[in-house]
Amino acid sequence: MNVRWMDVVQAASIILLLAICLLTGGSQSPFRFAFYPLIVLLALRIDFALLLKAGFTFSILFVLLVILDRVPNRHLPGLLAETLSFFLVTMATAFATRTLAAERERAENATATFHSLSEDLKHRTMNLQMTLEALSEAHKRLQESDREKTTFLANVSHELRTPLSSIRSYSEILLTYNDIDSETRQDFIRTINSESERMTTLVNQNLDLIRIESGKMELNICQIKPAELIAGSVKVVTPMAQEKGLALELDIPSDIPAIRGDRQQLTQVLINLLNNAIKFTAEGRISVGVHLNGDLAEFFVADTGEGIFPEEQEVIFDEFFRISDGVPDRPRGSGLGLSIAKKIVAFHGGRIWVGSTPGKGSTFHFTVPVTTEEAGSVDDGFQGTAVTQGGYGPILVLYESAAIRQSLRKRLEKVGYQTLGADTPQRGQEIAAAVKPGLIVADFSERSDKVQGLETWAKEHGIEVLLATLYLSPASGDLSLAAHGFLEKPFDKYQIASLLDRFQKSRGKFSIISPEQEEARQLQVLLGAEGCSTALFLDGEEAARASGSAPPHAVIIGSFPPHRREEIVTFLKGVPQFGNSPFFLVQGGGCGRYIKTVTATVPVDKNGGEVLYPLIAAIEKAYALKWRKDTDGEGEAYGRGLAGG
Amino acid sequence: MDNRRTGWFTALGEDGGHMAVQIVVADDEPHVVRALSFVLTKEGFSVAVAANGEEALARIREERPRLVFLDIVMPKLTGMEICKTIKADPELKDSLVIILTCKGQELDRQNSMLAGADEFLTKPFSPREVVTLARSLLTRGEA
Repeated sequence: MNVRWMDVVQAASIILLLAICLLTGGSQSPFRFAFYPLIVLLALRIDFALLLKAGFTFSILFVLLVILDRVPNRHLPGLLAETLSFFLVTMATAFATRTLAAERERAENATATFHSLSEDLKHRTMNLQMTLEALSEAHKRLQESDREKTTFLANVSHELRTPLSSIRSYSEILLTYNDIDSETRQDFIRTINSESERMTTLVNQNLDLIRIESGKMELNICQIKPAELIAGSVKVVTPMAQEKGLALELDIPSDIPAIRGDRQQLTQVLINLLNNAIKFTAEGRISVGVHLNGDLAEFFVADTGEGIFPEEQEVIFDEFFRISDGVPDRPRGSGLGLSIAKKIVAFHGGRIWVGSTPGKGSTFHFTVPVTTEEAGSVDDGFQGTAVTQGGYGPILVLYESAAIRQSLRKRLEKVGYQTLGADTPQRGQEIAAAVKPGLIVADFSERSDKVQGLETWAKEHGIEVLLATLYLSPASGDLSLAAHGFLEKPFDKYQIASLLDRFQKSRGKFSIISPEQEEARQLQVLLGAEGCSTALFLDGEEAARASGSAPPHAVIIGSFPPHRREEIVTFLKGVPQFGNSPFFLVQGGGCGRYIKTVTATVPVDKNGGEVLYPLIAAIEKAYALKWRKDTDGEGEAYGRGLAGG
Repeated sequence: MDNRRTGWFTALGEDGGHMAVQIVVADDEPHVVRALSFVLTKEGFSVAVAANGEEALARIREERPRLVFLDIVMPKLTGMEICKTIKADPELKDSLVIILTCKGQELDRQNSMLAGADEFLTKPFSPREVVTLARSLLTRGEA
């Protein structure tokens, strides 16, 4: 309104100045040198239509003055023609200047649009490139695991056929020939028996492996005293050692703190190692013990056996690898014991390795983290699978709702990830302390204090955690309430550009409903720079009132608490003119260096289940990126921008 | 026994009472070797055994057996390699070869045939079948 009023004042001034000039003698007027430039100046400033009106008003005023006989000069027609032609020239000049300025502005706008579009294109190309890389990596991984499965199956059949063929041969021999002496007969029966035992072990170990790999092995994590663990395992193998005349030595310092793990599984690891040590040692002793190495308990099993060659040390933990140099009386195993041990240790967040001098003996070591605080058993809600994601940790799904946690885990496992679950950040931290996760997927973004706790923790442990934030949209299960996308703090022009891209018009009208002035201002500036008009509101009612019958092209809803946000969306969806406007939600970002965020809208399908694919895709991308190149620059690229829709 | 009359069974007592080895069994699984050699000996053949590829080839070179049982997967030299060596050596190529393996895939059978093997046997096997196969092969060789 102010601007218009100024225009009218200026137009009136023009009329006044022209009238004074005319009344004081036209081109001979003593004021002309001052007034004529002033008139030109004013004419250039005001609207062209108003200028026309001013000219028209002036003519009428002049005619009136003539009729009222108030003009002192008698050369009226001449003066009129002179003044009007001056006025016309002024008008033409003003018009030309204005047109040129408008043209220039349009050109500038076009250039700006072009730049922002090409920036956007660059950004999208980058995104596509990253998606492509993540996809091809996932594909490679799947192929690899498929190949591994085939090899595993072939190996299993091979390993089963060998004892089976002994059993079949000897039983048939015993059935065919009646004239076998009783000693040989006994020997054959013993062989059948031992070979069937071998088969049983093989089948059991295979089942163990399958359980570990399919995530069905449920770990019962609790605090264990290393001394008890060792004593329990030694008890099992003592008869075997005594039979071979081998001494068993224990080396357990008294100050070893408790470890955190599954007692049964860790006992199995120790027994496997002790069994091997006894098997491959003809004489001497086996020593088993533990010592503290930082915050890890390092167990060892040392023997004075024949040792392992360096090239064998590398592959000894592979499935179905067996030391074979054709020694006929060499004890035989399934080739799975060490592979199982490796998987169990890895699941506990530890490492297993061997050191050996051929001819002198070997020492197997493995580590398990010790407990840091005097917490009780934390086994509930903690069921997980082994850590063999190409050397990276599993994905820890941190979600309060058990249903969503389970379904997310199931789907992640379906695409080949190993997962762990936790329902609170505390539980998550406990689990993460035992098993270093490769990625934490969490939905505690709304509560900044919890995320901060997680970040502090991540920083203390020097672990970089990727916080993949999922936004179930909407919580009520009504698809029509779904947000169309998210804006993430800190805002940038790419986010705005891709948001505007949805409307295919550059100058949209936006309603920004936000409780934070700073946030609203930032959005206003960014949208304004793209030529959009914005209106700021504090709540939905205000927005509905102010917008009247002309709804905005889109509504941006700022950092309200979740329930408030839902209220606002629900309210606005009920207002007829807002019914079809898309909604964008602002998400608090800025988790800092240790926590990066990814977002995805998770729509709810007809049957009430969540369609998690967008989130899985976002997580996959984040996971691949994290391990591909973990720099801040890269991290920002996927953290930003709109995801979802 | 029939085969005592056949031509390849020579030298009973002729070279100092030593019976010429007719069959070599090579496998790194001692139980397999023992079962096979037991049955074949029982059926009247003389048998020499080997626990790895190199040993098998050495045994074949020194004994010149009529028939060889070869496991595919053996340390040092695989059954396939030995089979090829036998079939490429003019002095050894008369030895018949039966490839013995845990792997039952068609590819293994084809590879065995390409390597020049005369028969292909999958574990687990029946000792009776092995004897029947050995007999028929040797008789065919005679004819």
